[in-house]
Amino acid sequence: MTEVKAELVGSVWKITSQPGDQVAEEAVLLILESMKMEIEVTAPRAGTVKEIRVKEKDVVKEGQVLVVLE
Amino acid sequence: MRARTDVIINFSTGAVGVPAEERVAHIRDLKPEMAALNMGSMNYAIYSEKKKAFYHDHVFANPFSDIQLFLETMKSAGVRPEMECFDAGHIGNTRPLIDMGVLDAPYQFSLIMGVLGGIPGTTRHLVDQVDSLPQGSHWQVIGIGLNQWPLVAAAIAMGGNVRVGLEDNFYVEQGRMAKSNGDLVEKACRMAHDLGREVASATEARAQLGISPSPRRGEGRGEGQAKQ
Repeated sequence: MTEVKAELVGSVWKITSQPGDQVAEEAVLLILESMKMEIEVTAPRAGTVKEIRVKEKDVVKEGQVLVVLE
Repeated sequence: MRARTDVIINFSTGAVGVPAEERVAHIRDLKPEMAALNMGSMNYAIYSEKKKAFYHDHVFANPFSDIQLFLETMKSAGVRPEMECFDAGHIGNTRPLIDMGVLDAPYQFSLIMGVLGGIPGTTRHLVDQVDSLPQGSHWQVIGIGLNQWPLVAAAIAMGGNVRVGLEDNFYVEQGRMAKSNGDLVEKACRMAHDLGREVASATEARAQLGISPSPRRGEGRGEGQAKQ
């Protein structure tokens, strides 16, 4: 199981994956907005999206788990 | 949205790596009352002191040819350009455009401060930016990150306008994150009142900025989205 965490404080602009999705390494899982920029959060490895722990418009902290892959 | 409120609708046009025509197409189609006009190029980066690394390291390219295209599109659509100045030189970039007759008064400036690659977010730099504006300009400060609050205070004291929101800053104060834009707006309003300034309604803001008192109901193809 792999936890995908926020690398910086941001708000969740768009969630582009859902539980059950098979994703390739580097696939975009969701997009954060921070410092006036859209920042893609990508899968660190291929796998299946087990859980998405945030929803759109949430404000997330650095290090917060966003997505769990298995 | 236009049926429900008379807020001034302002669309973004900023993007990295997107052709200028694409960045301005929605302005031509939807005709908001105002649209962002980025007034110069710059490095645009986010740096982590903890990791000693850049998360993002881009060049935000806005050559004069693109600025002219945006201005001409806005002018023909009757849209007020909100000139976004991230650095000291960006204000000076208005001079040739005024001389050429593509940029007309009243001038509307947003002084964006504290982006890595742009002007630092300090009161001293804000005073210098405001001193550099063409006579009679409308201006607001947009502070990025926790620099936002001292800059809001300075702008209020200087008689300027302010913008706050999650796009720019996530913290109500050090260590306390905002739950919504409302938390940030509430604090900005409180600061204005504490310093003896009033907060304008949308109708009053239209009058102050010289924007038509009636929202453009029925224009455009779809619903607008309030931005900035």
